[in-house]
Amino acid sequence: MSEAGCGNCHAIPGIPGAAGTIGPDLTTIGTQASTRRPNMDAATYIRESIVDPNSFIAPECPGGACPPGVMLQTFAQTLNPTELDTIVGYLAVLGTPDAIPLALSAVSAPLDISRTAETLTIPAVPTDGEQPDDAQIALGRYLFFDERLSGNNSLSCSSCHQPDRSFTDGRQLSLGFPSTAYFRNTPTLLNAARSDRLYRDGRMDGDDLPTLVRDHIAEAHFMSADGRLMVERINQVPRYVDLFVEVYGGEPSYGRVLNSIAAYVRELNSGESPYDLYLAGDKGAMSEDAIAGLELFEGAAGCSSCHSGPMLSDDSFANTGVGTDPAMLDDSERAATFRRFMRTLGMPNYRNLDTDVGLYALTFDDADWGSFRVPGLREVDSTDPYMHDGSLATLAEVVSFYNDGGGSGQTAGLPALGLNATEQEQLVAFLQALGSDLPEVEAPQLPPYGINALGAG
Amino acid sequence: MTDGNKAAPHRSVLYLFAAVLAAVLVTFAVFVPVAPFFFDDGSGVDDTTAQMEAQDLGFTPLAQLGAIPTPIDNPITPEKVELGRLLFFDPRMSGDGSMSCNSCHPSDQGWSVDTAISFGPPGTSHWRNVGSVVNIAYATSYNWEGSKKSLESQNSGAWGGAVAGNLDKALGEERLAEIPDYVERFADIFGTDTPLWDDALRAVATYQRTLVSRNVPFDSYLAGDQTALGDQAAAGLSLFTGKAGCVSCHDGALLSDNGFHALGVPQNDEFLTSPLRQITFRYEQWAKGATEDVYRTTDQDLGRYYVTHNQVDKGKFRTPGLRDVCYTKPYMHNGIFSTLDQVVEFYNNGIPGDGVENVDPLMRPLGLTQPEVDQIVAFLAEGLCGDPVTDTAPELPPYRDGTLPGEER
Ligand code: HEC
Ligand code: HEC
Repeated sequence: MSEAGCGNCHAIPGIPGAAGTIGPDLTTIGTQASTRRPNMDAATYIRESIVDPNSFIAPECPGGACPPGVMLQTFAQTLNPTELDTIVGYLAVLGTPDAIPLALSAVSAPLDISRTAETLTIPAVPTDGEQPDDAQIALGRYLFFDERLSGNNSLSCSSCHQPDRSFTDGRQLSLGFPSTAYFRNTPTLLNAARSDRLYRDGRMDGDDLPTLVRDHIAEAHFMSADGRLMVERINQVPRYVDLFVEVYGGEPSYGRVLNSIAAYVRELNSGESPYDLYLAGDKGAMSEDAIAGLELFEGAAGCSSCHSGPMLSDDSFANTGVGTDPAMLDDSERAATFRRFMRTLGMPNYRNLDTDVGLYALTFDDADWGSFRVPGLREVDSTDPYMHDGSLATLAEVVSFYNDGGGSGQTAGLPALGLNATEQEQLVAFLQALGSDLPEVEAPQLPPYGINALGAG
Repeated sequence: MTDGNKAAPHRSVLYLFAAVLAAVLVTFAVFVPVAPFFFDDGSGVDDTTAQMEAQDLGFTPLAQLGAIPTPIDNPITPEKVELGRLLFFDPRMSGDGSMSCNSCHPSDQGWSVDTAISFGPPGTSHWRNVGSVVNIAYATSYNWEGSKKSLESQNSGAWGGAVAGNLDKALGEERLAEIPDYVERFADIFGTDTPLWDDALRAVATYQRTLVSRNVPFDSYLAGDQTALGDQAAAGLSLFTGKAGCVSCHDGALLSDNGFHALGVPQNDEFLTSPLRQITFRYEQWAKGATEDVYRTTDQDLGRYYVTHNQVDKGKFRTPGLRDVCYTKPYMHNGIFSTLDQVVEFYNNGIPGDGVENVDPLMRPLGLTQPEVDQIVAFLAEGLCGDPVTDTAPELPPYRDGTLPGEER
């Protein structure tokens, strides 16, 4: 279903990123489908809705009455019968006690501890063979800074991913949309395109940045914008319309907005850090402490069993016992946001949940309880505070956390390290050598709204 | 004109009803600080306690309002009214916590803000004039083009829609679950462990159903008190039901046929000058299911057409009821008229605005003299306006963490 792109328009529990608001919310479609048309059971109705969407238009969509003719009519051609059966089978029980938990096989691959940081060269950002388009990136940069992309004009991407804070917000927990306090720490956007999975719980695919952008614009806890309204705002900015014509040969659309911002985000990458220079042969690029820290990182401290490869992440998931400060949920706004989030993922008993279960909410696999993505460590010198809950304020605290063998309730099996104070400082010095000189990004002067003629195209 | 209930109610039902009504009033008026309300007697008859003589069989007689029509699955109870009242005033029921129903439907502005076109959440605009929620219980469809068939479903759009509350349904439920007082009330009223969106709609709709303007001077007049209308207003009434032909559409107890007509009111120029209004204008074409062709070419609000997709419905809007009309300025779906004088002047000229299709044949020069125009205005402004239905903002219950809406956290 992720591949078919159902989630672009529909909210579907258990499907990562499926929080679309254009079509009907499918959270309980299994119970509703059989009531939609007389003498038609849930599975038959769902199948018909996919292959021939206009034969019956569902009554309620998140934005009001469901518009006819909006659902793509091509699924009959693009899905083979087995795929169709799988999708119908999954949807027909949603909201019923038979709902199927979906395993995310791609993200729960076993840890590969054989890789080490020595293989490090920064990989090129995947481009699908095409050259990045400068005009598209320039357009994406405007949109990245434009608050008109949020429901109430209060937030742009850059409000939380602030360029002068290495594209984080420096807060323990993200603010989220006004009145929805978010429950995780804002990660940096740097190198996002080089990650296998995105978000702390890995619910987004690193190869699919447009979907990541859509999730941000549409989600109630991020920018909470109705896509149709947002696109009409862009259409109201003459300069934007010109830029879209230049880049895409046509007017602004939701997909084009997403692609533009994704193109800009793909450009947000680390430069060469002292560590890269060191590996390239410049032995003076890192301090002696940092060099000693590197040795510990790959040796006694065992960090590189997870933080390996060019991005210093093996793209796996682990529960290191960071846990969740239960006080986080003392804030009612945050508790409501957290519970809604877990609920839309189909998390059972979410109302009594007092801890962030991370990957488990996507896989429902007991082994994933409390697991989070192993983050890459480039630029980690300036992305404080740390961990999914922002609970560790400094790198020294992070190193001390690992030195103590991680937190309680972990499944990662971290040993206490027994490092002395000097060794811990050396590890910190190494981590600090992972920052590069980031080019200064200035917020662009945003083009203003213009006046359009009504009904003129 | 559309179907109304043209049959006169049965006398015995009336007497029975009056008795039930009195009993109910005495019991519940105490609990409800707003206008007194009435229970449906269950007879299914749209009762009237007194009626105007029909001067023409083409319309339903003007009358006092009958019992409050209530859906079978959502009876009115005082507890539900009080819960609905709280919800109506609670800004936590908007996505960014900035607006309640009351922000756009403030009781001191006739339950509809005084701007021609409503605002939306910060950074957005609506595209229509706010409809009043007084007497909404008697409507048979909701919004200017009658797009919603129940008050509950209208309210769902009001909390959820991008240019109104912009609240995600699941988030709304989780917020309600964080307010202990609400959890208790929902449990008592609906028997659920935690509040459900649909029950919140039942409650807030129930509150609105109790907002009824029963005691306008015209009601006393109908009940036999000839002095209730001054000379001017009484003359206006004759014109309203006679020469001016208003009653062809504004009939029955609500002074609305609940039907749809194109009057061809002039366009509101704000759509030519305001970027935010233009954005919403185009957005609404999508949101209301217009075709791409309509989206690209229309320069008008097509009203009823969005519901039926039938050419003959382009430009038609629901006839608004006229009780308490003096409080609901400005007027028409686009708020183009700011006074009742302008409205009556418009009808008198009978010249529809440019480009409106399907204009009703009744829209023709009426040949009213200025004194006659003034008399009709007097009927509207004095005869149909009594003590305003008002309510004051209730004290809202805090979140579990002790904070109140809008409080610094
Ligand atoms: C942003 C301002 C705004 C908010 C907030 C808002 N409304 Fe409205 N309301 C309007 C506008 C504008 C209309 C007219 C809509 C139309 O006809 O398209 C309207 C129409 C209505 C109607 C239909 C009136 C009629 O005559 O058909 C009802 C009922 C109503 N609103 C109730 C509510 C309730 C209940 C809430 C809170 C849940 C609410 N509104 C929140 C602006 C608002
Ligand atoms: C053909 C049916 C029809 C006739 C005849 C008619 N009206 Fe209306 N009236 C409507 C409709 C429909 C609207 C709403 C139109 C719109 O918003 O575009 C309306 C709106 C109004 C309003 C504005 C109410 C509000 O809340 O915005 C007033 C006041 C009014 N009419 C008074 C009158 C009077 C007085 C007459 C007689 C001179 C009259 N009407 C004749 C159908 C009619």
